[in-house]
Amino acid sequence: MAIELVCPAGSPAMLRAAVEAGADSVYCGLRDDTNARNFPGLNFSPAELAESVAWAHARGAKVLTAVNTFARAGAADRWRGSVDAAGEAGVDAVIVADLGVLAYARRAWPGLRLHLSVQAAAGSPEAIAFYAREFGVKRVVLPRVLSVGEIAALMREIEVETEAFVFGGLCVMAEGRCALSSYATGRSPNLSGVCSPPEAVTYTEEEGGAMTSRLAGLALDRYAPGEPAGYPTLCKGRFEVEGALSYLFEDPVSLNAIGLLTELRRAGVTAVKVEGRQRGKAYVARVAATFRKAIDLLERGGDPSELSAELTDLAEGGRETAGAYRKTWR
Amino acid sequence: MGGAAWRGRTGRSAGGAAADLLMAFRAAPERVLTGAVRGVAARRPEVFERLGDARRADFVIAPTDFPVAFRLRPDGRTGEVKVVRHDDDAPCAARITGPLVLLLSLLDGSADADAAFFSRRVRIEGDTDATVALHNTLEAAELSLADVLGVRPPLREPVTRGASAALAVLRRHAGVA
Amino acid sequence: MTRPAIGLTLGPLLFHWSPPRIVDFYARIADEAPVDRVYLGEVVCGKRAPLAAHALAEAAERLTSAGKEVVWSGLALPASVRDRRGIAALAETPELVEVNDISGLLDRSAPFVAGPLLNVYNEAAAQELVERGCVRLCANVELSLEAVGAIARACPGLEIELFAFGRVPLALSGRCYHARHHGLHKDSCQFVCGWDADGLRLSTLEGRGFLAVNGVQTLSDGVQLADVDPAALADAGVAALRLSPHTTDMAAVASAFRAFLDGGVDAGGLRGRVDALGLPGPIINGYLHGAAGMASVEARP
Repeated sequence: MAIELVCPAGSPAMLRAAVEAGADSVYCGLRDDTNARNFPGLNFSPAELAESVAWAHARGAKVLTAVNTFARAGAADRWRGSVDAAGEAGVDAVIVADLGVLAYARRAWPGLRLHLSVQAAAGSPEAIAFYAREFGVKRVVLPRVLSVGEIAALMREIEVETEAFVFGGLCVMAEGRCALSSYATGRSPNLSGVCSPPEAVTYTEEEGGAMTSRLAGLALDRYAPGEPAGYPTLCKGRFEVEGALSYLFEDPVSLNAIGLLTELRRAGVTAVKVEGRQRGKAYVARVAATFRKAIDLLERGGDPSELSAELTDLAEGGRETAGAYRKTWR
Repeated sequence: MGGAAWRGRTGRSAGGAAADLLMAFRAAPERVLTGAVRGVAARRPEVFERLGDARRADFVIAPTDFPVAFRLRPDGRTGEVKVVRHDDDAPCAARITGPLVLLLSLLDGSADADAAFFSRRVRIEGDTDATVALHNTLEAAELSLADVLGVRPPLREPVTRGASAALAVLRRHAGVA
Repeated sequence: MTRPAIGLTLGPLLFHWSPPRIVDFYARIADEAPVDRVYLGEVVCGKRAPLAAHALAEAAERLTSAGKEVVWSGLALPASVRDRRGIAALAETPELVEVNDISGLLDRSAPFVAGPLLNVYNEAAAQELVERGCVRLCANVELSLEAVGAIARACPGLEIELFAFGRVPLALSGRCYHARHHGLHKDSCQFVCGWDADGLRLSTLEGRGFLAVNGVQTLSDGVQLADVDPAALADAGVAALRLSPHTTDMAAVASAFRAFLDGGVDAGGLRGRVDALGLPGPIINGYLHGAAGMASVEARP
């Protein structure tokens, strides 16, 4: 079976753009802090979700709904509400990270397929087996800390499907195990569904046309006139350590593993996933079309790595990496 | 902060004679553009729901290759657009600067905003949160230029197609595709 | 109603110290620190574990004979087959252990402590762990005292521990930043993380101290100090405060906290006493107040 192409949707319009460009599945979230892309103006109302599911199903595409943040203490009802909205909309699966939300989904919607979010950071056979046994999880979105070799080894030890990120923004920390954003701003993926939230971001012009990007007042990078800029995500900032300035955590690059599709397929990965619900229609249409072409090429015995350069201009900072999939990244 | 820095960068003094002319006759374009915003609000109220608090924010949209700038308050049926000079220094939530063609392409979703920003062809100063809300709202709205200008069927389709094609040509011409 | 006194524990050593330093450190804790429980074990990087194993075993004996309870802590981000075996071995231990990765629960049937590096953010998740044998939860560092209280109220019987002192563990990665800083690769890292006994400070472009690097772990530059009114701690269900080992005089830190919890000094007094010991970064406490972690909210007199 061909590898499944899973694309992001921040709005019903983006969902349609993704499916029309060749996505097999689209993932999306509800318009609140129950999903990990809780940006202003983004995401779906329950009614939009239901309409979009009907639209996608009529075209043979699946809709996966992310309820993948950690429920706030004392307010877990909102997360249960999102699971209910997804169940009522007839989505094909919910993507969940929180133990409490997993337990609720299993109890309240026993027929609903559960995917384990990357935010759960389940990267070992034992962790995956725990979620499969205790909550009936059918698919695990793999943490972006694993190399292709490790994914292949992992696949030999587990019995559930896997989904691997292949394009878009790249977390350099283990997802779901990172609080850098809340340390600086009070809001983080685990607490509020956003990383380096836009309300804490400022860009200031310096003398001579340089631009400084800041998060919560912390200067994270500076760009010469005309130099490609980046969003001030904490882990992609330029820092000083022992007198040396460097991108200690990660350069402002984004992930492009199109050249590794052959290896990922050989490793037994069920689905590949594109990051970027916040990026919009133009982005998803191009990325989905390119990966559709790559997967079809792979099915015919071709080499998708020849398409590697096609999406470079969409990358943050204009540069790309294969990330942890290559072991030398560490 | 943004306005002063912007003047320093371009060295252009508020658009020269063309700007004086457009400012003198700004009433008509302001009426058309304000009407366009309110028209969308009347036809598609859900578009403005996504904006949240950013509805009441003032955005200055300043095309670098156009003599004047625009001040937009996207507050649904009471929203409004004003024509202003590039050195307009009234307070605003955010200032968005870039080539006109690219700004129009962001409006109808045919260009990728992040890519435009990362490449520094579009610059944002001020409240990033409100700007992100505006961008996400425009993305979700699937507005065409015909929608914005209030063109009605049966002219809508040909106008939309014509505008998209024209934008694509202009983008290639301006090297901002 | 009288409440049991809030206890003190010493968290697992997060840094890569030499064996002699480890032995000396825990000997002093055994003799002088008023802590009830000490967590031992490598939590951050599996590569370090064999190097510290003997010293930690010696420390455990010393602490136990001094009347301290020793609880072994497991690795937070297992990366190799050896790491996974270590976690599995810990899961089979009948004694109380601290679990820091969900993989530690697969074969666990005996009671356990849920460490702060497990993602437990609410009462429903805590309840799932309680059903599987969790007897104590060290709250995730991002949680406010209010959130901790909500969890405690919904899980009667679950002991709550609070990360109260030390650089705050913020993130884990597959990549080793100490190695990267020194132009090395994780697989041939030469254990350069051992050069920075409290972590390596990272500053912004404008020279403001921000984070601290500790191998694959990223910590805050600021030093957490839970200088919250002991009555408020008790109201939030806190049973114990966790102090995280640093090179500063930890016996003195523990004594200052003991005095604070017993009413001997107020919040300002605790701050003054701990600050005077010499800390690797500025005092912070924002998370507990629901603010940015790096904020420092002064107690009202």
